Amino acid sequence: MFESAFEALALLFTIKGSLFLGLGVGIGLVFGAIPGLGGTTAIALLIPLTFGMEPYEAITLIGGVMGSVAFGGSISAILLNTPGIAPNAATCFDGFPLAQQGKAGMAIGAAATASSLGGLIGVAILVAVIPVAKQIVLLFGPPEFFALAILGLGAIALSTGGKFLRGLIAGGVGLALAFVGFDAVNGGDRFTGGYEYLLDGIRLVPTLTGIFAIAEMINLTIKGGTVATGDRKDLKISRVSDGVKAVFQNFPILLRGSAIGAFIGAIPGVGGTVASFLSYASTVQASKNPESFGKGNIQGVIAPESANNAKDGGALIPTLAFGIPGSAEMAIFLGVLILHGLEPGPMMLIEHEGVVFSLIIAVASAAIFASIIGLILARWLSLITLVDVHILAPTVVSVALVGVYALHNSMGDVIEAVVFGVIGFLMIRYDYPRITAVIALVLGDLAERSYHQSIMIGDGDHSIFYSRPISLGLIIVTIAIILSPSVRNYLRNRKKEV
Amino acid sequence: MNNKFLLTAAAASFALAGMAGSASAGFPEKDITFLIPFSPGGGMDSTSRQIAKTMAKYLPNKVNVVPKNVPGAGGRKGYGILAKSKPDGYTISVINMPGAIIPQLTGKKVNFDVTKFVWVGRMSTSPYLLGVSGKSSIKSLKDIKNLGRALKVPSTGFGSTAYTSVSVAKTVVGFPVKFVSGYKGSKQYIVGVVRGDGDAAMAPTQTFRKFLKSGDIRGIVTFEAKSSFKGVPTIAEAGYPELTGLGVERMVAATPGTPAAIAKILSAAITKAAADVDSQAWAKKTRRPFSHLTGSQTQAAVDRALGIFKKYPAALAK
Repeated sequence: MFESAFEALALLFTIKGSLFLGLGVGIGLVFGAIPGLGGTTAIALLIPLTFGMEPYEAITLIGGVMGSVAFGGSISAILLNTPGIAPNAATCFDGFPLAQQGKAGMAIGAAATASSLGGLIGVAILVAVIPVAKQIVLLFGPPEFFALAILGLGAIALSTGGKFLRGLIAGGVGLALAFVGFDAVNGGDRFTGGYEYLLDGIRLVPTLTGIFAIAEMINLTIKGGTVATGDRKDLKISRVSDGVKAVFQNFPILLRGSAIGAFIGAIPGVGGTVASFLSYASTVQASKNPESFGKGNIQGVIAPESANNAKDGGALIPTLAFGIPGSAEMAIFLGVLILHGLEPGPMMLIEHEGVVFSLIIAVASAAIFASIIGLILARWLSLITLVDVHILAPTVVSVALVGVYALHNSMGDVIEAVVFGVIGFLMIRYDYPRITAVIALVLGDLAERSYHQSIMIGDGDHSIFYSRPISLGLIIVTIAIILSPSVRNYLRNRKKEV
Repeated sequence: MNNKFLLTAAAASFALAGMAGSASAGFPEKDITFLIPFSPGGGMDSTSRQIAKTMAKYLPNKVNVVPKNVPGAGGRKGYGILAKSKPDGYTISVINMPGAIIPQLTGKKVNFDVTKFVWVGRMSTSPYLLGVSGKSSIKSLKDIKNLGRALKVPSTGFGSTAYTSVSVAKTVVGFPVKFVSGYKGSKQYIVGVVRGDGDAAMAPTQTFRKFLKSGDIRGIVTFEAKSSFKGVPTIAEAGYPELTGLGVERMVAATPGTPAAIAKILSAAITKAAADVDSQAWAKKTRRPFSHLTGSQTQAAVDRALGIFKKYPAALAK
């Protein structure tokens, strides 16, 4: 095992190796930072280029992209309130208020540090569980997936702050949208209105680009001015090193975020958006002053960013155990491996140990490399908050729409992005939480699919959900999460009375 | 009025005949689009790209064959584009059989008719294998028939190739099946069997190979003509020769109405592309062997697949 790891490391430090890694990181940062583009698009576009490469070169290049996309996306989340990729959505909550207060440098510094440390912790968790990866993957079947999806949906209730009813409405709409399209269980077409486009359901990339990026740009355009409020002369770009320090001062939050990220990452079909959101929500809940979140609390940047990079390590667990992709990027990546004559599957770790370690090391180094570049550039990147939105918004919108089109060469995707842009703007305007709708949209499919499967496995008996220990445990956690705010309120009130 | 109509029709058919004649004489005069109704990276995609790359060498004129991914609705989007294209041979598409034919057989509204496609070849096939968990007490097809209860089979959803193939097998062999449907793909439901979600799974031999090697899955019967796994009998040996070849076939078709002369040129180029040294090297490296058929042989294979569904309509029931 160590031999392969050292070999992989040695390959990385050749000129060619560093070149491919650097290229991957550069592409990942740019594709991550531009809303509408993202890791999936970057890797899909790179596939034809990898045909002529050696396997480890292709892996280093793509590992570079995977390790850096999430941090790239946090930059736009912080500076423009627009997540570059969906998993950065939770970073907007506190990252953007920090940018408005002129503390963009600090937020980016914290995001960069949390990302790279989170990525490393994720990889460490992966390496630690490799010997038992198969057993872990086999522990989670449809009943556990269903319980997890419900846990995620339960966390929505938490995240609504004071807007409980609005949160539920947004979540309900997201859930309803998740059911549009081809019914994966029974094979029927649902709510498509006869449009072939809708057979594939509400596609995530155009929807998220619309609801986050385009909506925010409409909002900014109407407001006018620049992103950072206040007088230009007063605006200090606070020191990036403060952000780095903040991460080390909040180490438990980093650890928890990384653990959540690695765990959720290992569950196929859940993904980074839910991971970073759960990390954020749990940090708010554990905090002594939850009111400070959403107004520029640096912990609100550290929590989601650590989770969102740690998930890459977690996503490799099912991939290495059985060749099942843990994320959309990983699915395309597996295709690349096959083209190079490597077959992902239960023998992967035994037959292609070198490849596995090349990938792990590339992902880990990319996370560090991307953060260093980010830290160096943070000061200059922050200047974007001083650009007039009437220049900024049209640029972001056009690049985002080109990116949306590029993924499937589909005009339908562009229309979908615009429609959700308008919906997203209305949600901002009337104060409905957008992320609630998005989480429900992401989890709806998993919840429905695994519910039906569980019932089929259990021959129609619902006891399957509470007779399996992990599923039961997850249900108990969900109930605790939903009840905890009211319990806490009750205790607080009693204290006051006493 | 009637005369005028006849005249116009005659003129039109002359014009068409003339066009077809001239088109096939100089075919191809421009680049050919090779539609891939699936996402990049999968088996359909990589096989199609390899053939597209090599078949250009064997066309009478020097043009490119440009692969174009048009994923959507499980291939239905791409098939619709092929059906609506000009029948001039400049648009061809990889067709997933029997997956492509199932929607129309099960009464779904589709904007293409697979039986009208002009077949120009088959690139490869992935015959299926029926496997159970390595820990299962089931050792043979006989054990399945004598199970005393329905065989629980994790699978993709109703209407998918895997689901339909299980239905065909259970109808022909005669054993009851209870599906656990809705898995995202073959790897996912194979792991489902390893985990104990159900008894058995049916997937391409290629997908199963590593699971058999690791011992997680035991092969019960393979639908290949000749078994590539030691100790796993073929379906013909098990007594059901008509099911030989059950699995995914990667065929190539041109738009309905494409002139026969042009289809012949395309078929010849695909034949040579599959036998090409470069293609063979690729097939060896990626373990995706070609099992090529010419245009007319492909037509016969399509008819045979349709014949099974006609003979056993129960295989299409939910």
